[in-house]
Amino acid sequence: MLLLHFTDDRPIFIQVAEQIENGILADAFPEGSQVPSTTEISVQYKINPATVLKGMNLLVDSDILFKKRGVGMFVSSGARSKIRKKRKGQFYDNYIIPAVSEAKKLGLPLEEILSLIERGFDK
Amino acid sequence: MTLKKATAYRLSDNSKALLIFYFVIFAVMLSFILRTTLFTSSNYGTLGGLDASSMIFIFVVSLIFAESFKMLQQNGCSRKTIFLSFVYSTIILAVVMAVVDSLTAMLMDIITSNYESGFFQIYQARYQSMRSAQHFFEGLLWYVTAYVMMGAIGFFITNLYYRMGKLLKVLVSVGVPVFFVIILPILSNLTGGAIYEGIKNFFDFAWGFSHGFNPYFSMVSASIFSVILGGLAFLLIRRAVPKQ
Amino acid sequence: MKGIEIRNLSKSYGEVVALKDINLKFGGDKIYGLLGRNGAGKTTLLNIISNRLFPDSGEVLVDGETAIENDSAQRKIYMMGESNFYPEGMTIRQAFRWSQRFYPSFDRNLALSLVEKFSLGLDKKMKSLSTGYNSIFKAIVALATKVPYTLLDEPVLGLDANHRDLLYKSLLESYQEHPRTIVISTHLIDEVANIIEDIVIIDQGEILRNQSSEEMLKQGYTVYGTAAAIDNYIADKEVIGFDNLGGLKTAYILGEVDNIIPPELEVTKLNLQKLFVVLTNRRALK
Repeated sequence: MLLLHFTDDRPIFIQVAEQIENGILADAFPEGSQVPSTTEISVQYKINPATVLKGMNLLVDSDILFKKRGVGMFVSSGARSKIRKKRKGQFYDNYIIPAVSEAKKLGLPLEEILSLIERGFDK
Repeated sequence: MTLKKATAYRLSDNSKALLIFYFVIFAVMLSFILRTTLFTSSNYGTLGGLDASSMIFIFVVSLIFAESFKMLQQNGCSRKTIFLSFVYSTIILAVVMAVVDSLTAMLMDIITSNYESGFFQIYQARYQSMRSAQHFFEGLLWYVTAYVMMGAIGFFITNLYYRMGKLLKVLVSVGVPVFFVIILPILSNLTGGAIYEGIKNFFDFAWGFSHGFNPYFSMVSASIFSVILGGLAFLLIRRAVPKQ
Repeated sequence: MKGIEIRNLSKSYGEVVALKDINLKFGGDKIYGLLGRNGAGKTTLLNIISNRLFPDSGEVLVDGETAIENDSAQRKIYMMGESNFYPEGMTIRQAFRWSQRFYPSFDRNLALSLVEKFSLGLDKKMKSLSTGYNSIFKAIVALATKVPYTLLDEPVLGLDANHRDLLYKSLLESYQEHPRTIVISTHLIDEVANIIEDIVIIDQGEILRNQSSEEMLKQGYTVYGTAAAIDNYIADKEVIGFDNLGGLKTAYILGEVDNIIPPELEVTKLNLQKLFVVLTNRRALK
């Protein structure tokens, strides 16, 4: 079963979508395989099924999942690369901007930030 | 629909108590039969008034109605339905008990000559024996109306107490006995016994004593009384609210 | 006309006003959260819908017909109240049998499986149940009756964390198998925040908010930063509260986060519990 962490304060349906994406990226749900049903996710994580469905539909709309009527939701082929592409686009906003703004608060110069990134990368 | 289910619940709720009741009654009767038939030489007096026990039974069963009220309300019954379920279940219970008690009285009379039912003791001037068909059927009808009336009394009292506040409860609990034990005798003395005389005449008439011990008088009186008390109880239960 | 419709409902206990001209609708097979502080009027509202109390004025309609003294409307409602209305000497088994009799939709298999999950004895009598097991028993009947409108008043009263978790999961499972309208009245808001679809906040007998959980959560956020920056930012905002810490300030703001937030301010969403506290406190202060 996938492990979801609903810790941040963004809407739950977005978190549902993101966590399924994470599962796909981590190869827990390979392309072509079935993802857990709305009911399973809803019951396991105590989330209203309408919310779960909304998250799932987000992924259907972006062709990451597809529906098989009466069977369930499956991972589309090419889903992983699609997610990667999208996440790369968000990387700057989600990680770089906050890191730089924190660094500025601390008065870290650019060279030091870069060396810290290198340190983290080599680890 | 709901009324039928509610009535079934009431009957089922009463049936266990009813079985225990008759078990005890029949045990008493059996021991009486054994004593009188085994030792016929000595006089053991007469056994009677077991139908009075039935009246007390149906009174008590009606008195503990609050539990059913909550249960039925939990299961979506309106107060009107709850009231009607009480009426129906009480009538059914009264008929069943009347049949059992009438048959028992006849059977006891055949087995032992020392048994007299309460009904026979009151109205025996009218009947030659407890074994006549007239006695059986008139007794049966009389039991039904009397038992229903006892149920109505119990039901009225329990509803009255349920709707009353603490203070009112105390006032009624003290006031009613005080009225009958102290005030009424005083008033009666003041009027030279006219009040007691009036009450006695009323009951002699209502129970048919003054008309050749006619049980039909009492059947009509009991029915009227039941309808009045039932009507009052309905007014009380109509706005009743479950207590926490 | 499907659903429970509450129109101009008022109720007082002597001098104390419990409900003030309430208008509300429950329906659409949704899970509702009825939230309010103690004494806000939640229980009174549910008791009037389930015909236990009479309103002073106004009406309650169930699928278009009155709920008051109406068997056919009440047959569609099951109210899990605070106290146990089953006779003290009744066993769980008997209670199930009568539930099945009164509510033909009663799902005996579901009831039995829940009894097992919660390790509740079928031959236990009502009077021997602890507070927690009282709640469990009542909740099991409420879920198993599967009526179109299930009202749960403080359903997890006295339950430990494990049993609360199990109850919420059982509720969601049964709901998805058999979608219906469920109203959960509770003060444990964080626990039900993700379970409920719509939120009704009731405060001092009045409806304070009635909207989808998602809409509701969009409405509140906090900004944190230096007092000067905050004061500048909130000039045109609806502020519902402040926290001060030295020269730093947190403002609780109603409304959606706008796109232009000065970089020196930090924004966080308000969770439901916090939003609820801030909303009801604000009224109390007024």
